[in-house]
Amino acid sequence: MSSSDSEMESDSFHAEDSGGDMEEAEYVEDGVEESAGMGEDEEEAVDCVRVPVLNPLSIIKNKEKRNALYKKIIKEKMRKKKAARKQRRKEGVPKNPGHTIESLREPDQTAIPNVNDEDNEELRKELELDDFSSFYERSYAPKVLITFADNPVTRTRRFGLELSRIFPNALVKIRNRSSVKKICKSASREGFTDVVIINENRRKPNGLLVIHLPGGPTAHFKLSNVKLTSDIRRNHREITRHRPEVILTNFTTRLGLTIGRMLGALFHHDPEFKGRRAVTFHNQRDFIFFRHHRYEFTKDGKRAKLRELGPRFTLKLRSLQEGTFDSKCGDYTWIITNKRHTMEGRRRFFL
Amino acid sequence: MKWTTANSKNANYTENHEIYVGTHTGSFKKLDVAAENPHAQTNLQSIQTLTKDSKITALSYGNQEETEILIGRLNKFVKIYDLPSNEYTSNIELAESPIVGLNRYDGKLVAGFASGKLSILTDPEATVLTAGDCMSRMRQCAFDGKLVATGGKERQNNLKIFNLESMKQVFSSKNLPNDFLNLEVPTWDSDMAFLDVNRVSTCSRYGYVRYYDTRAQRRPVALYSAEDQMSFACLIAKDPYVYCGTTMGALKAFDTRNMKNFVHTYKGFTGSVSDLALDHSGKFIVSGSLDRYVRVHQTDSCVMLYQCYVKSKVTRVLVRDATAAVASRGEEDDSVLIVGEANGDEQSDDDDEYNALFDQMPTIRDAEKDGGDDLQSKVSKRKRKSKTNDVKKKKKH
Repeated sequence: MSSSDSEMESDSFHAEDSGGDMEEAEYVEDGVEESAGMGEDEEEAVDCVRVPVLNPLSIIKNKEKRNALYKKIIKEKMRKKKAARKQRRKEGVPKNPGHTIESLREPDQTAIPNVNDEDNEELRKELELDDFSSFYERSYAPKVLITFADNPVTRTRRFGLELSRIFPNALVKIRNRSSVKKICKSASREGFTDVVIINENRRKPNGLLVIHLPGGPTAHFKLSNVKLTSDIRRNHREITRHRPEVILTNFTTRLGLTIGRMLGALFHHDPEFKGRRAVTFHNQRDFIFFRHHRYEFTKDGKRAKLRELGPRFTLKLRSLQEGTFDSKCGDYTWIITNKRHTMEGRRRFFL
Repeated sequence: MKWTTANSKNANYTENHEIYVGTHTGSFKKLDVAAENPHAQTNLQSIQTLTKDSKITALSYGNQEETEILIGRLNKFVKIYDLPSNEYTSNIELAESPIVGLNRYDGKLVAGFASGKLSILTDPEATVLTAGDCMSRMRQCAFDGKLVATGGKERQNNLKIFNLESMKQVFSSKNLPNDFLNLEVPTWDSDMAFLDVNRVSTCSRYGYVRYYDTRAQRRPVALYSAEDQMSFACLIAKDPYVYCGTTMGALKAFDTRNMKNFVHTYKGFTGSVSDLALDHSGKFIVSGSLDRYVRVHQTDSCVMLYQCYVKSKVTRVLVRDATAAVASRGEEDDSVLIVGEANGDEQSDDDDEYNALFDQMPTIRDAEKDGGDDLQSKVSKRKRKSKTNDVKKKKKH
């Protein structure tokens, strides 16, 4: 029985195959017929006739020869492309930068191309008056308290410890079941100027709460891609105790400016250049990338060699709040809740 | 509609509105929506003079005709901005700060302070009423200038209504009964508004909107409380609707006839809604937000008609219909006189000119009226009083 079945199947397949061939043949014939018919009516229409174009490669049945030919064609193509590019460069045509998500970014009303513009008078005044103005007037040296969610795992604790090596004048404390509001109160009593709280979920650090004291604001960041110093195969002994330089890049909007100022205010305003440490907060598409480097200028002084020291992590702003932490009753300067998909876009960025 | 951060104005929005904005930095500006460039901002306060405590905490009209604006700042100073002449007419230093509400009643300045005091500036010393130990907001009744409502955090500071004529408290609200665990329901009346002389609505940062009828009972007659906490920061009302803005950037409309759920949601906010204003028709709602935008929504269709970036965090907004104002200004003097003649004999307290005018009138009608309904005449008396006072002010200017 089984053999007869298989025979039957093979038969039916064969029949189908042949049927397919037949159709192809018919199609070609139709095409010819049509073109002939059209030609009788109007001669111009002959050009538009669609004749199936065969890829010459697909006719070759030997796989090796086909591949060799294919490679040859591709090589030829690349050669021509290269020649054309060379030609363009000779003629002095500027390079086409192409599209990126950044270049297609939706223009933001609040963007600040230049703070010293004429219509930014109010902004300049606000920068003189806001919560960070006293820091930027260099009237105090920041003192940072770093703490965690309750019962932090070792990894989170080590991350906190590494942050304390980044921020000069930082103190790491275990939370000890205290509420954030109480922490803020006692920290400002003890003369701290900022509180950083690391949250964790599933044994991984996942949130960063930065509170500026005494009057706020409070920023909540999502924390991701945390790589500790040991994860990038560095030793914390490499990190000196010199005060680092802070580089804040690409914070373009009004909100971005506030966030940049807030992050900048965690560090001492006078870096010790002797230590050659640089800390970077780079904003790209609303993600803030943190990197920590030691640099060394080459002998001609034109370039710098970098050595990453760690840790590295990525921040994304979740909310910015007026005043110190009060998630229920506090006023949010910026938050997007339950309508993210309409307000966030692939090409719309807030920082 | 697609959401953007760009300044925008809907083509259907043809109203001749003027929006006055008070900000966190202390700048006070005017947006002329009907102008050729609807997003141009005129700073009515020089920016260079601002200091850390010049944040605008109170902004309101000084009279019914909306021709003067009272500006209260964190630094105890109140400035009065006169609209027809577009200049500051006076600068007054108050006893305390922050000021949470400013009004004018009977020509006198009435200020509510965050400490829970209510002071009426009279010569030589201010009369002080105590409304509690904390005040979030004080609002005057638009229908009867002598009524002001106050509210604050905690039970002892919840909604109270004062009569400025008799200097007495006429209503104090009562908290809801204890919950099923027999615990007190936390209260914080962060903002309130009069729907008419007797009905008041309040909202709270603890996530409820309550609606009181002062004739019926001291407890609210209807209330809305959010299941997931919404923290209401500001409120404005136009009978029968109540509009509330939250600290998370939502704006909801409630119908006082059925407070089970909100009826409208207005969109476009990315920060806390700090203040609301309605135009006279009640068709347009103006909102100021901490995300530094002023927005105008149509109340019934929820469409956002206008959006403008004002550079500083908005704390207070006011709206004014410029066309109506111009029209009324033209005929104002006559109309007031006519009112005075028709109603006859009510003597305004201190204006000789008017006394003389009323003295000339026949007193026969007087007797008839007094025999009639007392209450009505009282009401009309109030209205007339406020109007005559306003006229006085103008003449002074």
